[in-house]
Amino acid sequence: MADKLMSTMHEKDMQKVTAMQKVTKILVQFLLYAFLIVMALIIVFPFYWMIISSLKNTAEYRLPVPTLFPQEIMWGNYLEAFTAANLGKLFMNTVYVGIVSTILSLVVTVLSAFAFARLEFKGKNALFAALLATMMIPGELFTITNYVTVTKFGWLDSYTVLIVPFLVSVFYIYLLRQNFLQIPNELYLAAKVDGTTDLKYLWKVMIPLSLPNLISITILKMMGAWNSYVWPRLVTSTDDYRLITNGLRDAFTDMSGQANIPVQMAAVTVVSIPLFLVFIFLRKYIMKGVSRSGIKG
Amino acid sequence: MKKRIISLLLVLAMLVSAVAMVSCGNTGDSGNEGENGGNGANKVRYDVPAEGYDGSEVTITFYHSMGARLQTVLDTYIPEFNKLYPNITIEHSSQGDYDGVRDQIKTALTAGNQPNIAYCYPDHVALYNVAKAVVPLDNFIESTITVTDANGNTSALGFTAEQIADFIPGYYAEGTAFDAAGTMYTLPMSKSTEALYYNKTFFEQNGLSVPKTWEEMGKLCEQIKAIDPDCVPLGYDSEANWFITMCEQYGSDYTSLDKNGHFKFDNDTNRGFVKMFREWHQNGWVTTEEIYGSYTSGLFTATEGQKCYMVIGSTGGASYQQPPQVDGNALFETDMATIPQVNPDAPKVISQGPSLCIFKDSNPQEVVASWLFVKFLTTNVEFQAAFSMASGYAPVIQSVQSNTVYQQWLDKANGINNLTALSVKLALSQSNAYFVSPAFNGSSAARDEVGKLMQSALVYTGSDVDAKIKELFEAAIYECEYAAH
Repeated sequence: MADKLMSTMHEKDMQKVTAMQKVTKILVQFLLYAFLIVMALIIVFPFYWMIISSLKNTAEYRLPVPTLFPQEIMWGNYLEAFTAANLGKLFMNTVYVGIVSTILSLVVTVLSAFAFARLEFKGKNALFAALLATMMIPGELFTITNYVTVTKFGWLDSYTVLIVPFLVSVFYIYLLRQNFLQIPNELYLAAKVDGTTDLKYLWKVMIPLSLPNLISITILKMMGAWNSYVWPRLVTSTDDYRLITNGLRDAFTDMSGQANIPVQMAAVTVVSIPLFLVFIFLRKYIMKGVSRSGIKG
Repeated sequence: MKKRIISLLLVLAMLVSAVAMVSCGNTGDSGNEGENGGNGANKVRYDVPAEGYDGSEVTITFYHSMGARLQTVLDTYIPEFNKLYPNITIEHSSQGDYDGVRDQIKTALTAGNQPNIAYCYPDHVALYNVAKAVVPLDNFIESTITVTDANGNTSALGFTAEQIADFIPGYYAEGTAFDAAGTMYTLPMSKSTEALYYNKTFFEQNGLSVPKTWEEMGKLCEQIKAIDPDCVPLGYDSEANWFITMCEQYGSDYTSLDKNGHFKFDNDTNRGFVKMFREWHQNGWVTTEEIYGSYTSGLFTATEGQKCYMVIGSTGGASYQQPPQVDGNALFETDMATIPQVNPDAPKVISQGPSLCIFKDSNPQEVVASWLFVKFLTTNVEFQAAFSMASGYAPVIQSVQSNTVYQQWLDKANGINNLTALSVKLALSQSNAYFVSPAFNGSSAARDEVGKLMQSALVYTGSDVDAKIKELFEAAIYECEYAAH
């Protein structure tokens, strides 16, 4: 009798505990999702603001209490954005610099990573340590010295100046080297026995095996080129070589210093679209790159 | 052991780079400038080459902040200049806004890669002159060296007395605001000022008259507030301009070129007007750009909600004060007047807008060619007229007003859809009233600080107003001193 009572009580307790657990779980989930939704809204809001601002007229944009949806939709802002900022030329420049610098950078990265991962030569580790040490210095510190250097080379206002200084990324080399090191030595030795050259082994074995990493590097590098602002602003003085970000910043301010923000926002929207598409379709690789690198771009 | 060697090598590399950086910092080039450092009564001089312009082929770079429309005007007139001097190639490019030009040149100076000519504001020139990079223009202006153009005509390299007299005096004087000796470092290119925009229709309907003094403005604001209790009668766009203009109108100190004490704006007169305007704001009579959160033209052209009936803003932004239209009909008419004064018999209005400066170069012929182009831009009537019509900024020479095309353009000025011409007309009519503040490295800090001071004082709602104003002035002076060192 007592046993039965005990077991019923135990069961009841169990049910109570399970119910409690369920409630807690639901509550935690609810709070978690509420938090995530709020955070998502905070992140999405600037994009929403960008899009609605791009569709307002100047007077509406300047209202003391901003409207959350344009009273009159101004598609004309988009047309004006293209004519005011020479966006077509800037767009082509950005694409050109992005593609060329990515291809060249990949070549440098793959060859260097291969050398550091597979080849044996004197001072390899010291050299690699020295390269890694350069990562400790913030890139901004190099800006002025790099500027002086490229000026002395006479590279200002050229594609060269936008591409060459950033061809070598120690971080990508490091990333790829770690990837290459995971490929078993036996494969290399077997290939060697078969009389394969180092380059052929690299091309036929290592690159295919490290393809996901290479794709991540490609995307991050392209995004870097698309988003770069300070350096191109500094080393170019005409629209012939300027990149899209420079056009966005500079083209919409009139002489009295008043910027035509709606048109500027229209241009920003247009420029954001390719990045948005890249993210939608290639997010798997981007996330992989980001999680491995711990940084973006 | 290996690690130790590597660490040692790295430390050594750091030391070497540090030494290299220190030595790089000492490679300044003082240019071919006279001995006088501009610290006394003597002007700083630049040695103009004795042969003047020798006809050699040079390329001149010109940094500005012109939009596409103004660049078209410039591109139209460069060929005109090249008809006179075919061997001088002009390459110009926009660097965004004024600050963009300044930042670009600031960096370029570190590599000795500065342009030949640039758009400038006085405080930019003060900054460039820390590196003694700007060419003092007095020797060019006074030069009697003969230059021969491609048509075989000869003229003096410098300005004639007539050319100097043709400049609007207040604009021309801006070039001398850099040292006690009055060394000329810049020439005016295109100018704007502040003006009072008012709703003419509203004024006529209510029998109001345009205020000439601040006293009248105070009374008018009270009247307008009685008519429309929900309105803010007056919007003043720039708090900093307001403060600086009031100093000038009262004749009280603002800043000085005295190296031992640049910042002199903490005085009783200035505290007095700040206190008065704070009361105005507390009465709901006035707002400013920072307090309102946007250019006050938004209130002036508002069709619903709160409105204002007067705005003091830049003549360069006249098109933003144009009345809103419904079905092609303007809701009201705007008119313009000189801003209120302390003493209407001696009016003072601020001078704004870009000037031109020339940078030193290892090739003196580039400097002379730059001078010739600057001279062309500032004295060519057709160019000044075309530039003014395209920009809405006032020309800097008086003879432009006798240009027929320009006259016709001015005649079309109206307060409904051609406020730009109206603003230029007003700017030209008050040409005796312009002033500029002394420019030194740190003068822009004073401007920023008095703007903030004005804003903080206006919105202060506590009871001990005098103590608060005193505190704000002292804090502003402290910030300025800190920024200047």
